[in-house]
Amino acid sequence: MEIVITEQDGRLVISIIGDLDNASVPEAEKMLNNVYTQEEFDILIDCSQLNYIASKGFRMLINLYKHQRDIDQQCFITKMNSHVKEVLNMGGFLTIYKEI
Amino acid sequence: MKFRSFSERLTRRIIFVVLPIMGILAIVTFIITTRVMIDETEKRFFSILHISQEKIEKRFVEYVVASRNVRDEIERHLDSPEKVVATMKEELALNPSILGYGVGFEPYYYQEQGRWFEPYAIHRHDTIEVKQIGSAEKNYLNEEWYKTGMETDDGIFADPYQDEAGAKGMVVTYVLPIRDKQGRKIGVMGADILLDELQKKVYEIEKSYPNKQASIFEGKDLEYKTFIIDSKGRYIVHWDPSRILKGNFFDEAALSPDQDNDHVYQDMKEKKKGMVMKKIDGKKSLFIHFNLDYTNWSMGMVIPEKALYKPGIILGLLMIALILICLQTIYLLCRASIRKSTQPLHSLAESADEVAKGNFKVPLPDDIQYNDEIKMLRDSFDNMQQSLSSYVEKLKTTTAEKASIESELNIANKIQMAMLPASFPDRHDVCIYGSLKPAKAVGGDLFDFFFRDGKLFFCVGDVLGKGVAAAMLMSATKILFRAYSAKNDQPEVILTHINQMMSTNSVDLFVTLFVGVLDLQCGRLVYSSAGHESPVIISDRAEELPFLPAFPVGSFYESIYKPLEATLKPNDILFLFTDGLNEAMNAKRQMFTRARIYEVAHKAKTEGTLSPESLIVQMQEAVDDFIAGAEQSDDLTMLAIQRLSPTNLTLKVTKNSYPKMTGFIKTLAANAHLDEDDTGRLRLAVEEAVGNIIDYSSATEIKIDTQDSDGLISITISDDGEPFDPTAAPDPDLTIPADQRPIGGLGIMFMRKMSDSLTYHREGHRNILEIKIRY
Repeated sequence: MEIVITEQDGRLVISIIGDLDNASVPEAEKMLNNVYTQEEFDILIDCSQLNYIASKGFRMLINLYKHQRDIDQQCFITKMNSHVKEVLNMGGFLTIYKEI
Repeated sequence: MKFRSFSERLTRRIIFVVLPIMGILAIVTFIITTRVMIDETEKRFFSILHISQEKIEKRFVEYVVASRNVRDEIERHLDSPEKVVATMKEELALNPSILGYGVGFEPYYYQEQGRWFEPYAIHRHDTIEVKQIGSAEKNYLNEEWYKTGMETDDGIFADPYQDEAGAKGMVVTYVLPIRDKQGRKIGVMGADILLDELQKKVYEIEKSYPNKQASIFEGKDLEYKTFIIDSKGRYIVHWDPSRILKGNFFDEAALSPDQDNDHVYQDMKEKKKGMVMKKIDGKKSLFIHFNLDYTNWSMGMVIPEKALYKPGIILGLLMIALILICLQTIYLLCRASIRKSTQPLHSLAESADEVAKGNFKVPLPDDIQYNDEIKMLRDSFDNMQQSLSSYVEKLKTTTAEKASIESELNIANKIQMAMLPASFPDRHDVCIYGSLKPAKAVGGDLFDFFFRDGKLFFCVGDVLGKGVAAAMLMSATKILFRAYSAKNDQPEVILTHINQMMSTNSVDLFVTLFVGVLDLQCGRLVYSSAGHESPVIISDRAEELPFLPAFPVGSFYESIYKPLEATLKPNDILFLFTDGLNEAMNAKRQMFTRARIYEVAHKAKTEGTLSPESLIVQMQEAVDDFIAGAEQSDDLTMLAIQRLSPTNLTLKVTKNSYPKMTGFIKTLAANAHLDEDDTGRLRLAVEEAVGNIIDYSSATEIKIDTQDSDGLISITISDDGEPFDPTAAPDPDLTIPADQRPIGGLGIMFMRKMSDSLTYHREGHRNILEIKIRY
């Protein structure tokens, strides 16, 4: 699992590469530390290279959303594969993250 | 053993030799001395007796001469009885030693005196009294003395008698006839001598010869004693006054029968001298006898046997005492002298002790006076001390050098061990365990493995050689293996490359090497061996993996290595080793042999679930038992690779359990040819189930069993944690926005949503969760 964060069109693009399974979540959260300290960007989760997500990954993304909500910024998600989309949709995730 | 000084021992030996010689000497001396002494004592007593005899005889001569003079005077005055009496009176006054004279005349020699005329002169109160004692009542003519006097020609001592009337004492009378001018015997004169007088004389003689030499040894009791007997054997002189005249020597002697008695009596009667050992008064004594002149008497001397032997014995004992003193002196002198001459040995021993304690500089005794064996010993010891000192110096240097080499070897060993795989992977598809036990600090064995592209690359090798050089080559081999297998999948190619690389060096060291590549997906094993011990494959039974003969790498540049193939079924173990195992030797120089390897493997297999680690542990125990502490000359390396079953998995609960489980599920999905979505579903369902167990149930072990048939995958997850039924948990309220919902329940919901069927039951102490996914 890898996370690449870039700034693009005024957004922070967070690319999650590989599997975001339960075991890799603590590492992923460390990688996202910087995101939690910023207050001026919308974020876009790029799932083009995300193969798999489990419940803890889901929760991590919810926590990310809570931060954005607190700073009045928005959350977007894009390029989910069918499995990831199914899982996220199942938990009502796509009601808070806007898919673009 | 008790310490006894050398001097003491040597002295004792000398004494042991000297003692018998001195002993014999003492005995001989004793015998000779005793004999001589007895002889001397006899002679001495003989001479004493002689002197006594002479003195007594002299006394008798005095009596005889005096008596004869008196008789001659009487014969000259025979004219009248008055003249006779006057003469007697006169003569008696001149001879105080004579008690008295009596002269008996023949009947009617003097007519006027009648038939009996016997004047008797006697000392009485300083005067001399003469009276006529002859009468009819006292008829001297019939008395013994008178008869004897008439019979003798020249006078004789008559046997003594008790004279009550005259002398009032024990009296002996010297009688001699009186003749007239014509020579006719006209009477008898008797000179009475009191026996007390004679006895006194004998004692005087006894006392005058105390013999100084003898008195040293003789006590009072041992004094010699003298007696005189008359012709009938009656005692005239005897030390016991009660026996005088009453005792009889012959009668007494007859009471104690003695062979010599007759002989002695004969001798005594014949007036011969004699000396004989005889019992006198019950005591064995030396008896010497003489005849006394002028009489028929005998004089006897009695010397107790003890008195005879005692001087000899005492002298002999004195000799022995002297010899003992001599021995003691010899002993002391010898010991002192030997001790003095062996003193350097003692100092030398002390010095040697000091040297033994490590003090090489201790001075050796240098006061050895003589150039003898002790000096030689000291000089040799000196040499030894010097060479020891220099040897120890050398040893110190060598040891220091050795220690530095050893510490370097230790470092080399650490580096070498560090080059071996440090840990073994915890994987779902393969389990690996290996061990390397070097015979010396650094070994020439190696093993290595790594994963690449779903394949396990591994090798086991043995450098033909030992020590640092072998270890260095081992390192090189490992590096070459890693280098060439980084891009090559074919073991024979890897071997060929390594061989060509190694053959170009000038070092004459070879390595037997086994290289294998295991496809973890299907269990296909491709391998190639460069003269290495053929591994054992443990499946239903243990058997040798087929091999092709080939040279060890590094032998020839041109060596050709060919591949072989085998399949490792799930749970099969490939057991690789070096010849340190099958050629492990016990003290009897017997080898462990491959037969025992199969035996151990077979036993381990039948005893239960076999894992690489347990196999190697059991193999090591078997070898240790076999060699029983015998030192091994070869390194012992073992590597076991077990292909794990793709349909079931046992997880020990740790934070790292996820990757193993993920790998297992991915393999499962791949084997069932699941598409991406189904793979995700399968994975999510299992992951959430396992995640719950790990996070909340305090379980230590999770078992996953899978079944795949007709488009349905069944996964049974069992754990030993607290009872928990995920199917009974409520779904989260999805109507609440995701960011406002309480945490929890999401995993279970995913699990439920992903699976086509989710059932739970409790079986014993285990939770059993069954997930079914249709595809």
